[in-house]
Amino acid sequence: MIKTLIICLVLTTGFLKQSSDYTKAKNEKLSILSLDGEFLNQTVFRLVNEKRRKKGVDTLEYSAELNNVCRNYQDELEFRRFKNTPSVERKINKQLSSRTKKSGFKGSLVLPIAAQEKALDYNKKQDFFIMKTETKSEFKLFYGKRPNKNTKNQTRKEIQPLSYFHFAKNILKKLESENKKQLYAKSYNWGGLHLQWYYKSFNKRKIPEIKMIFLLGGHQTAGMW
Amino acid sequence: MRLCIIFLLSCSFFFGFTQKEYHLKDIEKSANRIEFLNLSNERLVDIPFSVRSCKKIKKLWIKNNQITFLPTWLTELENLEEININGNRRLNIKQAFSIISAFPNLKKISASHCNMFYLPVSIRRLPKLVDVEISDNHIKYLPPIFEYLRLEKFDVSHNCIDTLPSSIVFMNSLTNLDISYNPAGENKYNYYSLALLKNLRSINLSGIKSLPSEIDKLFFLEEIILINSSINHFPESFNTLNQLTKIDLRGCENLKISEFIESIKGAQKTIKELKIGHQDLATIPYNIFKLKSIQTLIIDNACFEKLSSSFSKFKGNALHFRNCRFLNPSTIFNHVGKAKKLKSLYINNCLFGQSNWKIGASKYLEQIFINNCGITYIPIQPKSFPKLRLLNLVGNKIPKNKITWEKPKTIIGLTYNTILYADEEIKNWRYIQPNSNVKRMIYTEVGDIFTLPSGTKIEIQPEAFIKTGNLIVKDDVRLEIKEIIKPADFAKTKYPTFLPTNQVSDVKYAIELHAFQDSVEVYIKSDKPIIIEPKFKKRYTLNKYYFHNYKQKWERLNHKNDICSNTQTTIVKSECEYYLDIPRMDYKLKVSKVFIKLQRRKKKNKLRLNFEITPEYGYREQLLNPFGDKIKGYPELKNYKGIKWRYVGDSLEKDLKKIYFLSDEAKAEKLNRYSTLKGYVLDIKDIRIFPNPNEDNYLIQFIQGRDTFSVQALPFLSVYKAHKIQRWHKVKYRKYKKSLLRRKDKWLKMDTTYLNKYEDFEVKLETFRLLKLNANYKIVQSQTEVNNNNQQLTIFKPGLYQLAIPLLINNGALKKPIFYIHGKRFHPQKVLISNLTKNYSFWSKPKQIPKERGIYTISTLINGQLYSGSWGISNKVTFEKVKND
Repeated sequence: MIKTLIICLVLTTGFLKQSSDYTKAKNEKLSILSLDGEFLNQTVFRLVNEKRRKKGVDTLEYSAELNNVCRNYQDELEFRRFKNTPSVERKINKQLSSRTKKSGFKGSLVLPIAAQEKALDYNKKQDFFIMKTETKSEFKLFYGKRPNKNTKNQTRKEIQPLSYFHFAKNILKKLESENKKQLYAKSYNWGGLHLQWYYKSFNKRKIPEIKMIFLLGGHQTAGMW
Repeated sequence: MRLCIIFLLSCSFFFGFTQKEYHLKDIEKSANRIEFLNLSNERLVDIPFSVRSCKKIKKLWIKNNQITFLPTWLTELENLEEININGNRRLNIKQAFSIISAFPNLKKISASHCNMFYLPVSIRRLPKLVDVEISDNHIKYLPPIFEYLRLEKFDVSHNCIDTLPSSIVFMNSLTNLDISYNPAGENKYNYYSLALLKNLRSINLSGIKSLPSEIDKLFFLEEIILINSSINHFPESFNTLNQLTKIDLRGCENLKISEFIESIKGAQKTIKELKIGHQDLATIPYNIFKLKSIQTLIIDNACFEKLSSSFSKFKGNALHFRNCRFLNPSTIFNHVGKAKKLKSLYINNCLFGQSNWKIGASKYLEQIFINNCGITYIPIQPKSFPKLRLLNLVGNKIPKNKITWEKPKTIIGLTYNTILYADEEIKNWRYIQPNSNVKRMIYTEVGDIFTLPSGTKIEIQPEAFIKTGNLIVKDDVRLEIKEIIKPADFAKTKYPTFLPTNQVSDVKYAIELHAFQDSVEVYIKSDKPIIIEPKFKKRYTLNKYYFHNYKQKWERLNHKNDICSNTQTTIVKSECEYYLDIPRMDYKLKVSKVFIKLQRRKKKNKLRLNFEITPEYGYREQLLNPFGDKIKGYPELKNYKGIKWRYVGDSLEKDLKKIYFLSDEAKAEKLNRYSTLKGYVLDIKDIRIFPNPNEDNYLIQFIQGRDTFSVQALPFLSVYKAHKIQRWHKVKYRKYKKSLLRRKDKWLKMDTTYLNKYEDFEVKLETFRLLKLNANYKIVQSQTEVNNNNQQLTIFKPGLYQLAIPLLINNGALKKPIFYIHGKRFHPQKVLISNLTKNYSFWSKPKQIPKERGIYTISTLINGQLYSGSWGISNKVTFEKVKND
């Protein structure tokens, strides 16, 4: 009796935690000053695993070693934009296996996936402007044309930041469109990722973007034992 | 009902699994029943033909005979599971093993002390063999047959083996290996081979002089035996042995046990049983508490003086003292009980310098075993042992009638009874000074050391005698000595067979000594006592008494027992004679030379290993070359030709070093200097490839003459997609495995032809052996002269002395024999009872004589004439005159 109670308690707490994470991911907006990097990583990772599960592939195991390697690469490539992702991936791939080995990751099959995605809920076709004097808004980006000083109607529509969840969905959608389907390949068993702001996209008339490096890991000799 | 069933089951188990031992004389009667036939020590030249009829025989022992050939009909005994041919030094080994190898069910062979110079390869034909014992022979090389054997125990102790054959790596079933007293234990290369025997649990390296640091390769060991080793420290790598549960360090005189405990940090938490002890060990190491999971501490053959206070933190629950000596036992046993976890105390065959010691109070002790220590009282106060459940006193002489308490409920070994004399009886006792049987003139200025016929050594110092007026006697002195040993000596002297406590004494030795000068008695100078060392077969701790002639009573002498010095030591030496003329196998048939070429590309920081396996000979010769041919068949090496190390700082450097030490030119600097390296590998037995999931690569393992090493490698692949890579690995590995099986079949055939050739070669070895039949045994058991200093008597004044303990009768009952003299009934007043089996004599009343097992004679004196008669089961004693010697 007590055992079943305990099991129920554990399951419900687990479920509650997960659902609370989801509501948090859906409600909380991205922000420059208070970005919860770890939470963002988790959200993306969880979505990847969810999709893998739907496809009938084993879920990825979170690897702290791969995560460390990702962070180091992000530091190194801080000022590089991830627009031409194949070249970035090629660059990462050069020393990747030795680095993962050094960090303590045991599998020798590693694959980098790089991506960059807008962090704001911006409709492409519309004009927008930056208003640096605006103190209330964090991103200071608004729809429309920059108003003159003389214009009477000062109401402007701010471009809203995406929530963690929506951002993660967007970035994965983008990857799929780029034919980056390795994320759902069954050869890989581990994953590690790191997301951070692309700092060059701030304070300009640009939509701020977040860069991601996702490392997939697996055994080269899998299936032999 | 249930109890009955359990009882029946246990009975059937007991009778079903114990084999009755039959001997030569039983063969005719019970040939059909015999399962265990012992024909040892029968001086047989041939096995009797009647053995053929013992069809059920499972165990045959023919130890220590002079058999030269085993009969061919012996193979008819198909059920045989164990054969023991130890000590048959004239046996034709080749012939004997060809017979032995025909037993299909044989599990154990013992062939120790057989003067063997080789192990016949025919032994490989025994499929069920698990236990081989060939200790104490002259074997130098073992043949490469271990691929075919599934031994679990292998004892090659006391041989001359320096290098274990590389094929031993195939004997994965091995759990116990005994290479004690062989040079093999010190040869570091052997450990590389043994590292592959992952089932090995116990290794015996006794007699080793130094432990190589390669011992760390055997990290999976659970037991190491290092008896009589002269090691004084353990290598640092010993720390890696973190699965050890048992270590035997008895007789390691150069090793400090406390330092040893400090040095084994890896095994401190795992050791459960530690055996220590040598002559100079005086205390339990102070840091014994650092062994966290110790259960049993066994101390053997030590002379204990004290117990460190830290013993109270001892974590074990059992403490054994075996064959130990305790100068002052109370200093040790007073504190033993303080250890909180100690539950059992075992004291076996120990000697005590004092006979008034007691075990200190303990709240924790549950069992106390004091066995074969010859103590005559119970050395505990039962009230101070509240938890004591069992007190085992077997092998002591403790009187049953002294037990008055209830706790502990189980007391074993109280089968003795004391006998007391009444006070009046002792008062009327009159000792008659005997006629001396040894008279010796002593030149007092020189002194003398001499031995009596009984073996007693007597030492007299110069100027040891004084006469009245305290003047030193300078002239000759006549020493008159009478040893009271035989029953007649007791009878004629009316020897006082009692102790100061009125208890009957068990006299182990008594001597009457007087000195005269011109028929006037002289005395002994107090600072120059006479020292008497009687010879005993067994070591005792006896009390010493002096008889006051005018008071007619015994006095106890409080001389200290020096029980620690001059103990008997056995030195076991392992000497390997080098027989120059021993026939040798044609090496061209056995070894092939191979080298591995390693290439290193410095610029790209990538390392490649290219195998270039080229047999040195074999292809050149048209003769069969099994090991050379083997190298041909490595299809897997084609696939792995371009093996590359992807990561800098991988294990390659280590691997390179290993290859280099094989080529005897290993230097770390060379690795940095040259871009192309060559490593020679001799006598390659096999190259195996294993998937290595931990590191996600392959382990390529080279099994080579005296070494085995592994190289981690990944094949170079141009394919990119992950699933393709993985599929590639699967297919290749499956192919490799298939080819390996094919190759194994091929090699089996080749090896058989090789071993058949070796068998022919054994004929040469056998003829050599016959020439060397008288080769000396190597075990030198030098026995230092036994000085029973502990039994020393120091005499300060002339008179009667005795070494004695109280006499206790085992399971004795009072009996009343019927005496006859000249065919008539007779009623003597006092008789001397002599138990000839246990060698004691004492005076008793004729109507109530306590009797135990043994051969008895009863003597009495009638008008100065000694009459004696044997006392058997009929309870009749017929006295007959004893002629004077």
